[in-house]
Amino acid sequence: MDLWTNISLGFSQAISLQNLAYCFIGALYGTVIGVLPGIGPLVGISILLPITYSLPPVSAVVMLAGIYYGSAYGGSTCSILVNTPGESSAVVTCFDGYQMAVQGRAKAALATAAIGSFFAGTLATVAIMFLAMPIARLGIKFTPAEYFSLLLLALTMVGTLTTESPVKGLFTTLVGLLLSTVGMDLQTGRVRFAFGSQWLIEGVDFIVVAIGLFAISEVLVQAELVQKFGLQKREQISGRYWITMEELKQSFMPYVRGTVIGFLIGVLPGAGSTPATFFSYAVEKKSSKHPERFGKGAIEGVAGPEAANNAANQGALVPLLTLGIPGSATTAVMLGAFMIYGIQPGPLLFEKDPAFVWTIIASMYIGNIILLILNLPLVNIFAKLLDLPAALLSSMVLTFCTIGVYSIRFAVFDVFLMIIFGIVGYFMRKHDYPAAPLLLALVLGEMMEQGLRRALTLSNGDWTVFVTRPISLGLLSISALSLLYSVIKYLRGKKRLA
Amino acid sequence: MKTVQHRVYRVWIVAALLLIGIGMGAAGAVLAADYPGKSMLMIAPSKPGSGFDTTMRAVVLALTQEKLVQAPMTVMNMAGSVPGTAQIVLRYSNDPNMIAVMSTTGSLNYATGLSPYYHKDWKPIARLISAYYGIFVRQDSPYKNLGDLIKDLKNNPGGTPLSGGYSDDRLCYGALFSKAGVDITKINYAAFAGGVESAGVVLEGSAKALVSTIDDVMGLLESKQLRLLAVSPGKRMEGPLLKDIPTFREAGVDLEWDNFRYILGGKGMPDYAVKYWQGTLTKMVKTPTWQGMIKKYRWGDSLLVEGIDKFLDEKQVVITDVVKKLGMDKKAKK
Repeated sequence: MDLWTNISLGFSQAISLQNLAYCFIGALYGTVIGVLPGIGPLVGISILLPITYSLPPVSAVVMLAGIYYGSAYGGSTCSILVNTPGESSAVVTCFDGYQMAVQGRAKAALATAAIGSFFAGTLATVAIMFLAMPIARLGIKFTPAEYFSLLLLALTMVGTLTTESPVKGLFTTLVGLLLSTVGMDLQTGRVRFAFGSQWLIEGVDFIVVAIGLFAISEVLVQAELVQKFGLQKREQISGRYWITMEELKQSFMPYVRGTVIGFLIGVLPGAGSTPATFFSYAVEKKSSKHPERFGKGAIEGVAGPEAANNAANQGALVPLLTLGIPGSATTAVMLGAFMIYGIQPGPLLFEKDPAFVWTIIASMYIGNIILLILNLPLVNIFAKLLDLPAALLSSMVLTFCTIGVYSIRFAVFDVFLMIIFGIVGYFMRKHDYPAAPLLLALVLGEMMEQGLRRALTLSNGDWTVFVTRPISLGLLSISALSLLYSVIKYLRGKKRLA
Repeated sequence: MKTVQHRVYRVWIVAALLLIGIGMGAAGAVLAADYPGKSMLMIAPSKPGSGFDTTMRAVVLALTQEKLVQAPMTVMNMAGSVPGTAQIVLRYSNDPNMIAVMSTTGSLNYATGLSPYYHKDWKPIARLISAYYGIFVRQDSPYKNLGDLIKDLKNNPGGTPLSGGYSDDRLCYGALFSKAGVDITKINYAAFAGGVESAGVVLEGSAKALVSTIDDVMGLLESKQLRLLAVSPGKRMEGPLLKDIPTFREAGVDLEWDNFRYILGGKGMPDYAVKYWQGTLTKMVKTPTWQGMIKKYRWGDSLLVEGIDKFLDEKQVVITDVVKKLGMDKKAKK
């Protein structure tokens, strides 16, 4: 079928006033739920679903897609401004984004996040247009064995997340892995390390730990500063300067690399955007000439992961549309919604209903433009938040975090957990124990373990499955090489010092 | 599965619900004639977008659009079925203005010892819908029928891995293959978040067959990526893709299986409230809105009002038995 006829057909429908309006509403609503800590696209879409039943299917899907990728735009805002990751995929943005804000470069950080999201969103849409089918078929080749090897590779990147002692990094990684084993084990249906608590059956919620370690510990640090120095007039750190040409230039290659990494990981059903952001960060730091700048406000550390996040979100639509297999909890809800509209995603969708598919694709181009126009002016407004007195800003953060964490599942238990992790995080900071490896291990640990167990179940306990499958073998080799490289570099550095 | 993306509810709903809860506790019982009078709390003990959640929201939509209930109805999500049922029992037992949805999962959690509560700890009102299971293979699989698969599971269990959901789907394969005389403790079963998520390894070829509710993977069946060997209801199903597929019984295994969802109230729910909901739900399932919804979701219409307690009693016995055979009842504690 002719691509250009299809895409022009798509645009002609997407540009109708009604669809443009729904695209805008979706994008706006998506941005808002992205900005609010804790509220993600999953809840946003679930709540709105009943309303969409009465819309024409195309408009409804255009709107859902708008919410879906719109939320990825807003996700970085709280990470940058108040060190509070709203979603797991926004954790990485805290590392350098918040440091940039502290240095008065909040606007540059917010702008590079918005532009990177636009860049990745648009490029990933092009990729969906041309490559959806072949890439989806490749995604199927990823069995549990490959997932395990991929996640192991991600975990070997932990070293790049730590600036201080590697031993401390290793220690917090292990704590994270330990935490990831809490809760129900899918393979046996048994519950581990819950100590009789019904709230731990589903495990330790990642976002509770992330908000505790980042946001609550930051509030404690601010409180300590106020204690020591009193309530001084805070210097205006919202930053006068918009993103500079120099910074844009620095961001460009991270955008490209982030988009490629994000899209490739996004199309794997079940991988999600969080590993993509971690991968992108690790790649940026490894490929940088000045890795020591990372964690201290390197713009590449915001640009890459933000692009990767959006590309991964977009990529997750590939298996959904082409195979009918959802890649994440959010796309699973969207699959349910499609059924209600009478649309059956799968290989036949592109043939049976080209107008539908191409209208969605066209609407993604338009939606990304809308989001860019929407988000750039917001940068100024959001950055103003930073000019609030520390005491006021900290109380606001505390309030939002508490409400956000409580309403994940209406559990006071989670609020206490958040506070405990906040206190732990405070002392970790004081003694230079990095929190990032703990979070990475917590989010990847469960996926990695399930991958390992599933792979061994399917192979009837045969361990060679990890090295006889070419993709898995390739991934394991890269992990081994990267570890070897780190060790050699470490030893050489030691020699030079001696 | 612990999802990586996280979600939070709109703040004001929390506040509103708290107020409603306090109000209800203070006001005590309402008069039968006015029932429900105040707003209803509709609990979906799982996260937004889950099966419980879609069911409850569909019920609210049908009741509202068909104007069967005048009182405002608020859907409230809870964290998973185990803490969900605990909250229902501990907090809402005497609250006539709360109803909730539950499924096979409730009986499973009780059988595995995960939850100390089961259907005798609340008041079942009516079974609404059922999802039926199918045993699926890849289009080009050598298995022609269920018997072929059973033969391989008996002779070479290690080389015949299955995939499926981690929760209720286990019960179906456990019941089916133990009935067929397979040693089910030897079966390699790779568990995923749900049916459609487990389809990947079957399409790729690592798993030989998939156990899933049919509605979950209908798209893969329509696009001829998967082939259906047998279905779980008592009689054949309707539809061009399903009418020629034998039931488990026709395929030689004497078993009927389904995953049912039912509506419940607190244990202390007064009779007039139970009667009210049984009547209202019976009316609701006949409405075009509800019929349209279950057709779109591909749910099986399986209303059961009279004898729901007996049905759940019997199901509990069967499920407990399957759980024992699967070896999942270890360390069960009340």
